[in-house]
Amino acid sequence: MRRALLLLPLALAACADDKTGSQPSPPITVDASAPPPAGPRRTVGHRNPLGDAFQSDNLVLDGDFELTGRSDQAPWITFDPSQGQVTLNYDTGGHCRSGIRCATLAQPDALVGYFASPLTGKIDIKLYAKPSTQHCADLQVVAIDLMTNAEDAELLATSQAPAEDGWCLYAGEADNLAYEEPAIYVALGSNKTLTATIDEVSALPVGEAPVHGAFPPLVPIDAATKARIDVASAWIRGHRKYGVGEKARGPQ
Amino acid sequence: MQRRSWLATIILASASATAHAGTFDPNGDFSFDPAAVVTFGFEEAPPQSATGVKLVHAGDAVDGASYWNVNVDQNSVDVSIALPSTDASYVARVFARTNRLLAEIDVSYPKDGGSPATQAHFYPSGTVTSDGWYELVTNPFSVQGSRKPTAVFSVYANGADVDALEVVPSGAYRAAVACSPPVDPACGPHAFCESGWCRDGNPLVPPLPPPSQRGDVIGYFRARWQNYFGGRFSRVTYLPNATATLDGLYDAPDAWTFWNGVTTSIHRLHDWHTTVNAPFSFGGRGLLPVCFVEGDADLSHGAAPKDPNYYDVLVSHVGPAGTDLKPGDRLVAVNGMHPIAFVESLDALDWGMWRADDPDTHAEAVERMSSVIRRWATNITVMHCDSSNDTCAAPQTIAVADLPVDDGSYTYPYCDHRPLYHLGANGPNPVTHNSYNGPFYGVVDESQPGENIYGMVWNDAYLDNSGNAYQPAYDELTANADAVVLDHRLGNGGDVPGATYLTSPWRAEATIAANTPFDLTIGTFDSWTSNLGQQLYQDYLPNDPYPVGSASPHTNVPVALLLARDGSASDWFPLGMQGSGPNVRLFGRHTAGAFSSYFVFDYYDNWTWRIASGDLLMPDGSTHLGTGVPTDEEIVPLQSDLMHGRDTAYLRALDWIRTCTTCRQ
Repeated sequence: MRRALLLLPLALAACADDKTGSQPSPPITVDASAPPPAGPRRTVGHRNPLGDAFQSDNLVLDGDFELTGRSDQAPWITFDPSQGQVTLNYDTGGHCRSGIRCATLAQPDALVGYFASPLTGKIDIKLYAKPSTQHCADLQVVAIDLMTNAEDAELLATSQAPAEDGWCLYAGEADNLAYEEPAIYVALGSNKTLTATIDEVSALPVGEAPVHGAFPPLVPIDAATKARIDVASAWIRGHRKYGVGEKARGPQ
Repeated sequence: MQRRSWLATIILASASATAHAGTFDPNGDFSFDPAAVVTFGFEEAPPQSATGVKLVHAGDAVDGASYWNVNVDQNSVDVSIALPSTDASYVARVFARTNRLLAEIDVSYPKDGGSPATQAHFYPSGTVTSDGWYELVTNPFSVQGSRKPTAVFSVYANGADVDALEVVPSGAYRAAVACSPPVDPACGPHAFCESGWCRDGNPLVPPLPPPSQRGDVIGYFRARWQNYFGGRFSRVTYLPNATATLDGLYDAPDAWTFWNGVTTSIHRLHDWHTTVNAPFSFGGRGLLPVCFVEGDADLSHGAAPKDPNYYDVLVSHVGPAGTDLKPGDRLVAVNGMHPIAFVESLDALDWGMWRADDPDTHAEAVERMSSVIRRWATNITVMHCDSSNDTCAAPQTIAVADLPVDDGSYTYPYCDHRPLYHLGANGPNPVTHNSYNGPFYGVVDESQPGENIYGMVWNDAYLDNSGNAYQPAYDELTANADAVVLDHRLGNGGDVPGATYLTSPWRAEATIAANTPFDLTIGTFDSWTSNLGQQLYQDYLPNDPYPVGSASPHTNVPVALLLARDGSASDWFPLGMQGSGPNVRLFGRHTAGAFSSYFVFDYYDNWTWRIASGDLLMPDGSTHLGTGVPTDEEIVPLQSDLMHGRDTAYLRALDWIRTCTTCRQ
């Protein structure tokens, strides 16, 4: 606990910087008594253990993966086209952009996470990811409506290569999805060994979102991606649960 | 998660006096806290019996040259630790990586009449490393070392690394004291009274968010309730109380007050799906292997009048031993209150609180009665009745502390709101009431030659890719039955296809409602109009209808549906049966009105909570959440029936089957 308290000011600084997306994290520990040697074996920092809680107006159900489990009807689910929902895997600590946990994705799975829509107006969506290839374009991020199988355009990466901190930022303005079932669909490119780490996802009404510079233009999704999204969307809608679940099916 | 203790690794501290306390140096090298009384570096190989746990030698261990990778399926892994023989308070820390580590320290004492076992749970502190490790900590927990307790570090994970456990003295020792539940000032700050002992709540929950973050954390939960919860009815009726509870936590003085307050807020959403799975549990005191039901104490209202708001609470069935209560006996009061009112008053204490959306539905409270009494009641008032002369003795108040000791050897039956079964050898076990293993089906015991009355007992409404569990039963019923009693007096729900299928043989085809998606539009239900409801009904109907019945239903077969504690898809199913034709009739209690789906959130130590989301739209634009499905005959067990082994609702259903005049057309 002593160390955690010592690092708290640094942690707050990191959180503030996380919001603008420029600070590598976790921050390097500073010990005033001796200069740090070149190439420490690890750096140590402090995060809000509940993740980006300060972003309470984030419309993503669990934008930082801190309150999502690995199965059941969670804010995020991992979807295998041939099996349906499968176990959601994670990475932790400084491997993540913020908080304690972040999602990991491997072929052939897709990640689907719910968000809410305002009654009117477009929605600013951002997502950070680290594709194993370090080519930001190897990840597809699409705003979709699970109710009608309608897909919005794909959100493109803001750069071809990751930023200095290793993260790619995907951003765009999705159309309003009021009265529908909005979700973010994340899938990997065709490379069969490709994996990715995903963290810090936000959806905010346009106008309330922090300025991130000019967004790249949205592009229509291709037919193959649309087909994969349709499969996931139909499966998720068809497996919505209405009950107490397995835990209450016998004596407690 | 079951526990399996397989390793007696006892580690005492031997850290260097020059080391920095439990932290990392500028190079990122870790040192245990020199004040630690227990350190464990996970350098030893786990024994072969520890399936799923392996020693990993790697240069990126937090401490030393290795760590454990824990990938266990069902059982937790326990490591024995030796704590000093002095009474003291400690904190514990450990590092984990890649997926969650669910960890706790369990302290148990000899059976010497002193305070009971205690536990401390690990949650993330926020400290992380660039190579993926994160620190988990406990809040301070007190150990009465002078009683020579047994302590274990218990971990469970599906693919997580664990390293560098330390236990360090911290805080002032706090002796456990006996208390009188449900609330006893003797417990003091951040403690609550459960099962006769003050329990320090802080070691059970995460650290208190610091003041600089607390408003953000409250705002985060508040936004989850505001943006995704409900249900039109539940948002209008219950949400304001829940958010007000959250808003009262800004000045919470300690971790327990804060996190228990968040849980209380969830309870005040007052919704059937919106429940909490606590990361901790304490055994009840006193032996009470008894299941209760809502009933009509027709033989004892002279001595104890009926409450104007609630049904009476009667004994439905009991375990084979361990109680002198028997079917038909009456639970008049708990702590001087109506038993249902008592259970429902505990929303700030009982993390298992479970409420229906319909404010007039209380079967959930009655189902949990025995468990709640054993933990939070001081006394119960009962009436013993005599079947030989149909009389009941005067009310008798019994201290819960005076109930026989429960040594763990007694059978507690499952409380499924069914006083009796009627399927003979084809039915559930009449002692354990294992109706959760259904469906059970066959000719009912009371069927006379030529009647061919069949019955079915089951607890859910769920179809998935693994198959249709109901089809064998329904195939037999539709092939051979001339009348059917569907006993769904405990209905845990499932999914809409399940509800649809269960209606299919008995009624004509129709689409009777449309499911909304999850509540994912800000303000949908807060500015509701009938016109909007009708428009959305039309919008949702193509993609998410509620179809019922079939093209060739057996409408010449009378079907009696028994209900008592039913929610969600087990609301949908009776809704699909209700009013469908003269061959279908509903008996018993109305349902929970839980016409929604849910999201489940998940934190450390299996601490999960669900938030209901969505509603059911009717063709006129109205919403159905909050209004249970009424039965055609609202009927509860009579005391005079229970004591004689008669099943009131079932017998009335049987009578209808035998006397109905338009039910076979």
